[in-house]
Amino acid sequence: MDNEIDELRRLQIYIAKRLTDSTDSSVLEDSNPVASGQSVFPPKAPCERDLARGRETLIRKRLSQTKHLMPLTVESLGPRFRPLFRQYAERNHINGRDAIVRDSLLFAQWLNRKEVADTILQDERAQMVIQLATWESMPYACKSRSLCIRLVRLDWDFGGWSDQTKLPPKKRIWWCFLKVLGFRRMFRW
Amino acid sequence: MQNKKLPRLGVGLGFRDTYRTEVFRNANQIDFLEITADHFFDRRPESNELLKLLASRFPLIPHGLGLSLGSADGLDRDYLNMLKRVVETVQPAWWSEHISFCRVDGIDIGHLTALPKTKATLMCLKENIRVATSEIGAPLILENITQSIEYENDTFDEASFLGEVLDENDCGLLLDVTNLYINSINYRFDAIQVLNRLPCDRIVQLHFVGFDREGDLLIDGHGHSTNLEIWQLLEEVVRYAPVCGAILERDEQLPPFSDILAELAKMREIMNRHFVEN
Repeated sequence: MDNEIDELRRLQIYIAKRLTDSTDSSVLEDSNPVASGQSVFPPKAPCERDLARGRETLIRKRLSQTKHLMPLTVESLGPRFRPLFRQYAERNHINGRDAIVRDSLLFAQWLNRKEVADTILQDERAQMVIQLATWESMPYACKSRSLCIRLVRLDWDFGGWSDQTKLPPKKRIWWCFLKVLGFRRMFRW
Repeated sequence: MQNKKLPRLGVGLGFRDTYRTEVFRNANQIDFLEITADHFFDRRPESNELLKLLASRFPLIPHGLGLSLGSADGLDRDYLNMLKRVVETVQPAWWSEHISFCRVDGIDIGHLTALPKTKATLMCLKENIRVATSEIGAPLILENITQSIEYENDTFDEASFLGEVLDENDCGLLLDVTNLYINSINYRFDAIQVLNRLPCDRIVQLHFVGFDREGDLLIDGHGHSTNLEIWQLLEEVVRYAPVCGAILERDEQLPPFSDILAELAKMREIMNRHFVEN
């Protein structure tokens, strides 16, 4: 029975990889006993049609959840939103409890990298970061802070010094000031 | 577990924050609420206050999404502890999870994924359910999911697999009538035949909502009012089993709340009609 459970685990990993990452070709190699149908115990891996259907269901679900978190992006991109999200989602998958918010955030960054979106996305990103902040178990005192402070806090959480280094020198000084202010308030200096 | 030993909760709604005001305003037309346990995992005071407020007005049933009872890796202890905290706060008549897996080897699929119907799967489920129920004392009921993938060489069919899972683990069934119907169309089997082979004394709660169509396939989008086919199947289910409760699960394209209340009233009428027979 232990062998059968190992086999089941391999099958589940194969399915999880195929559903979440269409670009990982290693799971398709012939050396993979699940993919090549050489597993000793039943059942065999699901057929390609079913895996494609599963992938499609998953992307549709992510799209539906994401569009609620980024209404401004949906509005600004119009009919381009769906195909762009699909293009992004096929190559990116987020794990963990805050997956929906992180998915939206990564999509916004992906759009920025592709230079598809305009400045409206910057505001959108700010909104999403706020939502992520409330999802995390922050101390209550921090949650009542202003938008700037929360953004500063979240930038720190993301290890996001990259954002402030893009700023011009004067704004960078303001950024540092807000960050210090944020920590002061957070720890009630 | 027998449904006759559990309280009869009536007809209720899957709680969604969008409907928060309407839910309280129309509390006299909602018998109980099902809450998504995962939405209350954070320890924010607002979440706790909302949970306590809901619990003060309605009987609550926690419904888990991500325990991944079918995972061959075992359970995620952190998730289980968070779930336990919510269930202990609510003190429900029962709690529910899905017969599926959504996490393995560090990959969180983000979607309930069908399990192969084999002895190995039964073993995994048994061990994971044992761990979960040793932590969470309230009775556990298990839900059938919409199957988007099918395995060749399954050793059990739908009805016998569900029956084995329920009997081996002494759990109740949360029969998602819409999922049963969708699977019966997409995978070409007779939903009534499957229903008649399920242990009627273990069917504790129902889920229902409308389905979407995409070509030949039916999709469980939770975004439609309950279709005629689902009402007909609900009628059969309630005639077959003395269920303790039914929940309308609407998540997408939310209609005016009056439409939701009308669906609840219709379901209540069906349950009341068959309650005497059962």
